[in-house]
Amino acid sequence: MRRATDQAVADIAGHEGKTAFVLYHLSTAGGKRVFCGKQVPDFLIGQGGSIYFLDGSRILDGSLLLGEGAEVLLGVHDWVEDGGRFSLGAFQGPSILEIFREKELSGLTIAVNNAPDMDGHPRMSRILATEPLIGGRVDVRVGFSGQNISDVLSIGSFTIRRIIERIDLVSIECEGN
Amino acid sequence: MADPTTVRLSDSFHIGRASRYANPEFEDQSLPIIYGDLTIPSRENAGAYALPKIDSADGGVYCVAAHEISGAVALFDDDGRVEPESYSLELARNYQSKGAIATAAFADPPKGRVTAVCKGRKNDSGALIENPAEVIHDLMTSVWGFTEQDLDMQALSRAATSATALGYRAGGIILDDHAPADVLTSLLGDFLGRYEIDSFGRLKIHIAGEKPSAMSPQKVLPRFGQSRIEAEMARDTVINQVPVLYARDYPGARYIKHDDGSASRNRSSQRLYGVRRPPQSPLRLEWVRRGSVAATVQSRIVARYHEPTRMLTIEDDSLRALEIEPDDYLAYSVPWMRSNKLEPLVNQIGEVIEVSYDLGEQGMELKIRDTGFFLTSSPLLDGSITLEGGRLLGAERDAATYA
Repeated sequence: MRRATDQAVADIAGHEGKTAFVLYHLSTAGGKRVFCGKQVPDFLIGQGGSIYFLDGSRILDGSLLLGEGAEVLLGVHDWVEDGGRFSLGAFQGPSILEIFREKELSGLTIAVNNAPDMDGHPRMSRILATEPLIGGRVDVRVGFSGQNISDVLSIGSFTIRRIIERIDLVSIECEGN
Repeated sequence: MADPTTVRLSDSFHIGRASRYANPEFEDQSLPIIYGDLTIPSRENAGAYALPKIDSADGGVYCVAAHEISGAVALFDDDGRVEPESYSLELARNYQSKGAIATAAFADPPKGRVTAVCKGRKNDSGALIENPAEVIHDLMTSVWGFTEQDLDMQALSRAATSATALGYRAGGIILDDHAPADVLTSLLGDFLGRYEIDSFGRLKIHIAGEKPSAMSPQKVLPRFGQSRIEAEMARDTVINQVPVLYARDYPGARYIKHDDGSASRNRSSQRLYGVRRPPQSPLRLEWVRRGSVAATVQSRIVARYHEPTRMLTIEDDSLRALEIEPDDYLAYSVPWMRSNKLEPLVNQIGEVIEVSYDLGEQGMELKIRDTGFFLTSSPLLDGSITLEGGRLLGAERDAATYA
């Protein structure tokens, strides 16, 4: 079971017929961009960067700067045309014994609209020309309207393996680990 | 936290080679990383792996392991076991200031190839690392360069407890460049375990516990009105006998031990469905060296798969089961299907095998293994029911609708 707040569980239970916000957090050496299918309330996006799990493996003796490594949020873009599909568990059949001998997380391909920006340049191409997306990380998160960042569920992390750039559409191909 | 863009499980890890030392016989020979007790099964004439000769001067210095080891070393050459007086053994030697390794220095050259058996890496307490979960922790943090922040420590602890309860002990050698993901799949797969990367980028491992009845459903699925549900049972899912090969012999690229699985086969299943073995039979258990561990793996597979498994596929056009993950147990209701007692399949307990997300359409598909168990009701003895027989108190299927 994923970590979910009571509010998130309630949102999911009452979700039928409503649209969730699916967020794709792209983290690279240059910072973070959030892609989505439609404009998202700011409080569902949150802060990027390193997360320290205070699970006993860290001593809070002043040597650790919590929040160190926080990423720059470069932009939020509602340009996702197709959010793709992915699977956890990787059951290939015919024998379910195979689930123990196969890797877990499938790949994911995201299609992003590459329409011209205000200067007439394809907007995603502008980003691709200046930011090192290959090797970056994509976190897929799902949130619901009217709540806050702690109610957003993370459902998968991927690494960007390949990008196909066309004048109207950019495909971002990611691999699961 | 390791940078997942540069230190990743799918990237190849390059093992240390003899070239790091001044005068090796062959520079390409890899320095073995050893886990568990390789003295099992006992051997009289040859070791379980070949040693690289890292110094060709005089009788030669051989690397027994690329790290400090627990001991119990025996060496062999072409004439069989080498007398311990013939070599000087150091279990932790900072050789040529390149870090601590285990070495064997010969006064006179041994005959032909030198092979060995020994006990592998130790933990901080000095105990041999054998628990598969502990092996993974050590590989991640001491070999591959990750930190504990890259591990879900709670999941690791649960897996270690399950492995201990089942008597699992891992033993094996890493001799080649490899992607950590491949080693994790191989190691965990041998013990019916799995791993995934959670949404924080941490490694989360799972080794199923010894009690299938210990499951508790994390969620009751709503009755899916518009969704598509189908169930599939196939003879190919039946496994009633598991031949295995184990105790790998690395120089010979073969396995020393074989068991045909007859001791743990399920005869009644074989009468009904024929002898059904795993698709890649015999299973090659690279990280198993003990007969008792192999027998546990065999019997657990047979216990789980000796009957055809009903696999349900639920396609839901919403994200109402978003918090569900593989390995979760959940209760589901498909009233038009029947149990083996012809009851409507209400509040049946299933194990999630696969979760697929269609993020474009905002829908999910769940693949669920029917466990045969169901939620039960516990009536209050408040006078509302009569105890005249015909009821199974506490064992009747709960027919309530929860969502």
